[in-house]
Amino acid sequence: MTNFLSFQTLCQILVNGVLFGTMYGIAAIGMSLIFGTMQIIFIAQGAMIILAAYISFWLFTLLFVDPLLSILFVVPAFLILGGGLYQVLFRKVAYVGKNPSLLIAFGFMVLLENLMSTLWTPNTRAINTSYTAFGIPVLGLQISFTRLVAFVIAIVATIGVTLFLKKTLIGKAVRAASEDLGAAALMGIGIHWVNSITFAVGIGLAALAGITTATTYPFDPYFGFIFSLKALIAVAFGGIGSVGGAFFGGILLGVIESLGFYFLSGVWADAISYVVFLLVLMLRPEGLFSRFTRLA
Amino acid sequence: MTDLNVFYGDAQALWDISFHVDDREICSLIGANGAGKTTTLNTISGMIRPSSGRIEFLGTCVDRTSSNTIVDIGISLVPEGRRLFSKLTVLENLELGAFTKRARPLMKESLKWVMEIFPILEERKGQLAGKLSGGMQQMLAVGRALMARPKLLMLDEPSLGLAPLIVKMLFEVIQNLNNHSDHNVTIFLVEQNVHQALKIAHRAFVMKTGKITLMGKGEELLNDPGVKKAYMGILA
Repeated sequence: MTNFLSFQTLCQILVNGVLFGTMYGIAAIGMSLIFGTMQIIFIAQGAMIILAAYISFWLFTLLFVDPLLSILFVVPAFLILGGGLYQVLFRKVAYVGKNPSLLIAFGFMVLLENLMSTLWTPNTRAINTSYTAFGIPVLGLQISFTRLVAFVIAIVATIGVTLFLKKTLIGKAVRAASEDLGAAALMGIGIHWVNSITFAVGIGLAALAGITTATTYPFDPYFGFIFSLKALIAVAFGGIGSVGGAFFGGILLGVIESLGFYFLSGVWADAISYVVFLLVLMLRPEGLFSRFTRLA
Repeated sequence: MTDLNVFYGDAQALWDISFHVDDREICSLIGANGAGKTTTLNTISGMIRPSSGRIEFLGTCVDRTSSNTIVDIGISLVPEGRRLFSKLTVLENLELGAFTKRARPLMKESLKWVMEIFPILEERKGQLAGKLSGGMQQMLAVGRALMARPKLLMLDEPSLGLAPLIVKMLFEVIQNLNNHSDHNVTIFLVEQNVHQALKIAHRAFVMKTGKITLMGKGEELLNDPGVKKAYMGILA
């Protein structure tokens, strides 16, 4: 505990929080997109993130592929994987109701966790590149290079997804389908097709979040579930179904955790974020930024 | 387009319904609430599967075809309650109307065509569909369906909740779509506004509790004492 908090320390805490929160942000966007059309919480999102983290870890360890370089082919691979995942796991049950889809997602998460734990042991891993410990001094603050890269990637990804949804016909079809699936079908939009697209984009974002996580933090096979929960909190902050909201929700969560970590302790940081999560759902179930995002 | 034959039978809501709509005609289906009019339309557009019976369009069987394929074949539905994408702009709604493979290359032309029919949509194209007035929403719903370049346009209660003047204008548009030399759209109209629906229809059916009870030319039905009594509140 500290009684003295300099302006500089506060800035450092906030910057760390923002940088950390962007990771939650991209995980949350993927979750929010899938929720938009499928109307389910894809709880395995975090496990997919850790899977991507492992892939980039092994690519680096065995083949010496730089994790940032691995983005170029892991993300496209995950886009295809996401589309395939829908076709194989969810296509049949998409009309039956939400519960089967939810259970499948849950089962899939447990399967992935155990698979990763068996294949790669439950040991905590981290990628140590030549630039991992590299910090950039900005206005007297220390900013970790890998976190900054993760931050930039997250922002580019968010803008990319937003442009995709706003400017392309496929993106517009996704937005239409998340508002009224039946009416979208009347426009000739195939429902399975649009669900595949959202899954592809959601899982592609998971790959991005996974690789950037691997470069900045240690991870283990079971870290994914916590990640899913955090993404869920970010989605709730931002208002369910809003891309920009999910991203800012992630950043807000990062800042809250960072403050909690500094003023109390690591254990309390988690507890505080869940308390805030419940408070937001109770007091503003439509999301903190709902008016803002509606205008945007 | 040759004859369109629609057969539908033995579902609980609809009992052995058989009828056809001829090429380039306006055909109306009228009846009270719960008669099965909307069910009929939803079945044709592939939203509901018939338990038995056949639906044919231009000689191909479409009763097991999914709704997105049916749009591509040339049947568009303006659904009851319009069902616009309220969080999307007017222009985006129209663009999505031309989503099918067949309609997509024609999008620019179709946009021009629809904006000529409903000039107000051109003015409001950047506005969110949910913020439009009821009349404009209905125009947008019709415009969106036209973007798919349908050969058969089905309208489910287009006059519902609209001011009489707008209803009149909308029915004129529907009639023009059917007459116009370039785009001969066949119209299948479901209405509770019996008077208007029968006035513009070449032929019409009356439906009651899932069965077709009366069939005839629009004008004939308009003067039919039974129809007058039951649906127009006129004592013959």
